[in-house]
Amino acid sequence: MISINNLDFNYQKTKVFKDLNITFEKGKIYGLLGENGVGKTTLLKLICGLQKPTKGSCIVDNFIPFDRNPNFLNNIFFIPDEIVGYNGTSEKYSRNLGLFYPNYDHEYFIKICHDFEIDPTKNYKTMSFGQQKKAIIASALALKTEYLFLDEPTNGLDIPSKASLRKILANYCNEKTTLIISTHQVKDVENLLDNIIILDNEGVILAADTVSIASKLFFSYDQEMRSDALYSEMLPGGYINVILNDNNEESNINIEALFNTAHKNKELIKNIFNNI
Amino acid sequence: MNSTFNINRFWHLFKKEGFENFKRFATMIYLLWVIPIFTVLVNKIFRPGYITISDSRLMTILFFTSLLMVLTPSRLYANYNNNKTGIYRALLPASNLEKFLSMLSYCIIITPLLYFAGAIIIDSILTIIPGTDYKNFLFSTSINLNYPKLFESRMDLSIIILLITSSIMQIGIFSFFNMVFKKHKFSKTLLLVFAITLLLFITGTKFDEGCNLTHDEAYHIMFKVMITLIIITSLIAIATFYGTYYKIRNQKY
Repeated sequence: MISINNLDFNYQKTKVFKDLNITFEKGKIYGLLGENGVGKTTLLKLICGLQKPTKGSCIVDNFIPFDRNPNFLNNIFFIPDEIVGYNGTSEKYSRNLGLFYPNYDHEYFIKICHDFEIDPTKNYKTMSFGQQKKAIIASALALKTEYLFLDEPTNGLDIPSKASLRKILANYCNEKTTLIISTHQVKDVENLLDNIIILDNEGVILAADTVSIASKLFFSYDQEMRSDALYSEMLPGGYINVILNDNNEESNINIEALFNTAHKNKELIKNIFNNI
Repeated sequence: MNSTFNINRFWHLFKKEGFENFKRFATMIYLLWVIPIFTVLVNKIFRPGYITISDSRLMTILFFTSLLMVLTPSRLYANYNNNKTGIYRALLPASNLEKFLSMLSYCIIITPLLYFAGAIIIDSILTIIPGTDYKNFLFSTSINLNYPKLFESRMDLSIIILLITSSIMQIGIFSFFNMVFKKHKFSKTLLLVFAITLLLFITGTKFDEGCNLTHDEAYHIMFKVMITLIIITSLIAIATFYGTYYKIRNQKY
């Protein structure tokens, strides 16, 4: 479990987080959403141990991430937005990397490469950007770490690869794993997420599971804007209205609409989900 | 598994770094290996009959070895403190000590040793080939720098020790500033070292003014200076190596 308690973080004089409290549980896929510069990548870096909190704590399974204890590091993997290449073939790279991770599964790596339609014996440098990203994701998933952090994983992927990634990530998750996906491309991961965290400059606006969100907010597709809507947006053929779910009706969460609702009604959303 | 040092993990790291850095350090070494072959060809064409003595060849090899030692940190580990490319190293499941020792192994032992061994082999081959300007094998004649009598015995030993400690200090300085500077690591460090050396030299000549010493007095003072320099270079080496380790441990990305 990842526990972030009363965490403050600054980049020199720029305040990023103040008194941040979030818990990430095992067996769930989290979507980390927010505008540019609110600290999504910074939060992932704090959890990985690439940054140190200014105040407060971040604990991952009794480890302090910034200590970079190898027994902690061999159970996490972070795929940054901008990937960095390597010399040689993906297969060799993956095998070498796997030596550091006790659960590495080479067969699984080959299978993911097959699903992604990439050749693991091809030199990394000769691959296209999308293929390189898929090769890195395949290596990361084959490590079978309990914690996997992905920053904008679908950037640069073509449409079939996005679908493959969704399928692979859904299969990857079990009762021991925690996936945190930071993304702007919410449509790419819409049906994958168990929990949604929306950040802004003041911290967390919303941190809740999709069941709880669907029980408290109703996403209605209508011909017109509704007067009681917390947020409305014109779509082809009508409007999406986000309203309070007073009648306990079932609806599918539209993450984009949820994000905009949360931004337009920050205090209300904080009160509804009680995650101040 | 021990979180500070584990021999298997260190070996995996050592192999991985070798595999990933092979092209970078191989290019550096190939380039230096080619220089004597090129020189032999140039001499053959433009200076027929010219003989390159083994002592000067050995000095050149030693110079390139020490050059390689100071170049290696910025060539192989340039991305260690890079916010984007450095995170792969930082998150690799090996301890900070293992990462530090692996870096040190490549800077102090592997790269210089590979070059040195190869350079000796190339030199021997060039000596065997008839018609080159190499007439003697390296080490076939002892290096005779004609030290004055003043520098015999314990002074000789102190000079050798000083050469070793200052070489290690150089690696320490270049490793540390490789972790401090973000860009132009080698040239900035070289400028810094040059500035400090110049400052020390100017200070030294100030003290030297008006000295009128006998041979014995000069010997004792020189010996004390040597010992002081050995201590200073050792302390700088320890400080810079600790600094490098500290930066590896506390680098933020």
